Amino acid sequence: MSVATRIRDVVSGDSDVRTVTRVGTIGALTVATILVAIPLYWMVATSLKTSVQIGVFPPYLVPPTPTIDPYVDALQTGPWAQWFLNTVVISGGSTLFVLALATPAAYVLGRREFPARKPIYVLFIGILMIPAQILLIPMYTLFSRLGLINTRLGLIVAYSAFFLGFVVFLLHSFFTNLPDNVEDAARIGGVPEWRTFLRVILPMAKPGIATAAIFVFVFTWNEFLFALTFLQTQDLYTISVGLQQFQGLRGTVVYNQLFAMSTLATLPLMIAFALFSEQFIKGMAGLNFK
Amino acid sequence: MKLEIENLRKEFGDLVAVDDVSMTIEDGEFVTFVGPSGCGKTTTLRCVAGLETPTSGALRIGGEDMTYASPEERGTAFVFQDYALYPHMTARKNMSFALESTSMDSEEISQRVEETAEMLGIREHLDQTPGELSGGQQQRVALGRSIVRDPKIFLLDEPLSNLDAKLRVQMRAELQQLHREIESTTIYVTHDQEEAMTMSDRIAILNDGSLQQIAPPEVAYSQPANEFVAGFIGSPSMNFVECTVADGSVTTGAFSVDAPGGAETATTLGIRPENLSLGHGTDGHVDAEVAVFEQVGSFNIVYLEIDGLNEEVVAQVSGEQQFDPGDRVSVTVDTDRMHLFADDGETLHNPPVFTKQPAAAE
Amino acid sequence: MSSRNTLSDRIGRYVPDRFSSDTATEPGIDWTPYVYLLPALVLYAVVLVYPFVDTFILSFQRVTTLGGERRWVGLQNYEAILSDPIFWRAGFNTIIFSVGMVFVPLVLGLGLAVLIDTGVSGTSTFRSLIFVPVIVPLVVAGIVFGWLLGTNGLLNSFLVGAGIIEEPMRFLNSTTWSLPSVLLMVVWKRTGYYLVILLAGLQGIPDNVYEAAKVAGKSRWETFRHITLPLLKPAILVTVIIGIIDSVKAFAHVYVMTGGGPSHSSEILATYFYKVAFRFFQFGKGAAYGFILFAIALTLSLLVIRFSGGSEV
Repeated sequence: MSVATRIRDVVSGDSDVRTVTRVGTIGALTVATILVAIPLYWMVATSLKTSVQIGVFPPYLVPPTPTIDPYVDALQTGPWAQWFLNTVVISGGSTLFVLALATPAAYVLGRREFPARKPIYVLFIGILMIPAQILLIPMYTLFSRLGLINTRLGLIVAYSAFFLGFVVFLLHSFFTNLPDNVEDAARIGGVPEWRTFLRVILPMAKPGIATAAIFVFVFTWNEFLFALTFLQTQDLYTISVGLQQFQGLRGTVVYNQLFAMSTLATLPLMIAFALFSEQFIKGMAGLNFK
Repeated sequence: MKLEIENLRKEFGDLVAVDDVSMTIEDGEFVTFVGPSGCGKTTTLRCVAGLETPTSGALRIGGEDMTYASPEERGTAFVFQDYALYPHMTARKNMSFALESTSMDSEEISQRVEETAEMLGIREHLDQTPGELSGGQQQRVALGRSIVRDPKIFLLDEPLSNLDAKLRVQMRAELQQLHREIESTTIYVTHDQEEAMTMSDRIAILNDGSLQQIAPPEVAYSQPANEFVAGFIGSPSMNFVECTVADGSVTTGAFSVDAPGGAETATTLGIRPENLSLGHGTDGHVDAEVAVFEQVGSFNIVYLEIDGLNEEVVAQVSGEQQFDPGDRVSVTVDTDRMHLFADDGETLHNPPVFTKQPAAAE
Repeated sequence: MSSRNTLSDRIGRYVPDRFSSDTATEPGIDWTPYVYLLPALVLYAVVLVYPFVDTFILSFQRVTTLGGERRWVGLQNYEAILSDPIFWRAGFNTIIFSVGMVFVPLVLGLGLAVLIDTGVSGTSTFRSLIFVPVIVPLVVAGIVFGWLLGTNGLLNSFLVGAGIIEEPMRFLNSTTWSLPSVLLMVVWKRTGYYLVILLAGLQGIPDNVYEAAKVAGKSRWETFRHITLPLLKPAILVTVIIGIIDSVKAFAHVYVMTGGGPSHSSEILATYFYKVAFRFFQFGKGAAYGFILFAIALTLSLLVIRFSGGSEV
């Protein structure tokens, strides 16, 4: 039987062996979790140290005199608030735009028969295989001509196009798995197709749409390469770009400030995760079962 | 609304699901399509609804050709086996959703929904979602959704098969009641021949895509058109025994009886279990040994091994008669209720149909 | 609740056409699906297809300034790249990178998933906590690990404190350790992702399958190898394919931590691409490079699909 079942068996069986295996499993998992948590802890801890304290070797494990000065100082060195705002606008905008376009597309690809259905679907999936970098240059050129370089809108459009394939792929399997009969029932009832789509199908696809939204939002929040290339004036940067510049700019890296800003950059996602962890996880897991 | 089906044929690639089916269903009739899995009954129903497109043939609703019309245009209502309720809408919304696309005003819609809910006994559940309702209640909402539309034809696809046995029996009676009240043409699909028999004005028996017989239940029961219908209708099933007819006698491997006229080419004798009587003496047509005895209650079923016959024969006896496996019994065939079938399965002889008993004379 | 007409269940291979145009009363083509597709296709065509084609053309040209003159040079760009030793170094590094990006987290994730699947208390907590690094911004992860592995960092202080080494090591700045350092960050970041997917897969295997094996007398290793793993195969396969493609595309991981150095010791395909295209202003070459990357990603995916027998798409 599987290791897991064997352990499970033991866990529910003889109490002596049960306790040992149980403790062992929990122990191993705890160790793993601690290892995972170390870098994050380090980030937050360092962000609360003074500039003097961060230079010490070996470094302090716990900030001796926790202070939020690094936060305050760092915030003054660059347009952080602006950067946050940019990131929210860009991520949010991309998410909405991509969903608006991809949802109807995924719907017809998944639930309608028409010529060219398969080729078009493959076309969308094909995007997933293209490393984004190869499109960087010509997209840059194209967007320059369209006046979209160095604008947030330009980046939104670019991200939306990129995530189109992914969202179509994700939603396609959701739509395909929706029961036929409910749609048939509406049709027989004389309900026009667009109404069925909006009032029946879409609400039923909410979990899929929510998952796609989470994905796009997180991915675009963390995206670096395109943001770096497309946004050129400092006050348009996203958080990721801003952080990177911050690290590179200073002669001596002021780590506590850097980490303070890193913490702030991570915080919104952490909060979102805390609120929606079930959805996040279900979404990521479900994603891979076509 | 009258429904005419003419030479309907539906193919799925190489598979012929519906093969030249024709029938006319009068306004207000309750007709059941019945047959084993894969016989084409659901496909035919879906063609009537417009959910499938016929490969050839014609469909007329109320005289109008609707063969290729879209479902929306046909004015039919369809109740699915799994109800297909909108999971995110309340029962009320489920019922009113389709009406909102018509020209009815919201007050009228609301009233209709309330009335229908009242008729189905789900008034207090109107504001719950399907997830909060039991199977029976969901089923009623599905029915209600169809009823509010006041359709020309009601189509039901095995609506009771997801319910437990007791509920099913109860719903059967309710559906019949409903039909009497609403009086619309109804087509009901089921694989359960008992349901078909109890509820319909006429039953249409299908097998392998073709229509075997369409007739009122009592006719299908006592005058089956062929061996298939004879064996399908009635539970426990009719017994079939190989025979030959010569010189006015029907001879099987075990016994001989007088033959009715016109059945000289018969090769199979059919007799229903309830038309066999068992006794402990030796005065029947043939002797047999009891193989299995099933105690049902109001009647009992006896599996017999008849001397000289290869086929196993089933008899149905009254609840008071008890047998043990191994008992020797004497079997009497009610020759008035005998059926004879030709080689190709066609019926050559049926007993007379049952008629209603006239009121007892004083 | 069955979601399909039972007849077509039985038919299996042929699904009746639903909503196809022959049920419509109007003659001619049913345009509706195309209307639903149109906006997406337009965006796609303009923003992706056109540049894709343009890149292809560009790869055969020589351009040094944006919007500047283009000269046809045939396969020169491709030749230049394929004969560039740094390119091959980057390719080699990418293979190592993919081990860290795909295989190590996969194995770790699997191990953790098995442990969690035993049903000890706190399942979802462990799972959520180990998953957190996945959503941490890449740049942040790079920065933090950069510090952790720096000369003043935690790892060094541990090693020195424990007496394993005398002086702090320069991990990020060493030709031997630069790539592994990045990989450490990558493993940290990706394991949770594989954990979640594999755990879902494990939990999807019904208990009675294990019980049947137990009754048949299989050892736990046998069951794992012959039952659990094959059942997990679809999930593993998909994630591996996507993971390998991600390795080819991965940029920020290395860029933020080491920039590809020192001396290209941690250069991977995507970072070198960036340099060629943008730092050295060789756009034609960059385009060619991009196409080579695309070809690699495509070949890899096809190989993995073929290798596992049959299309999963």
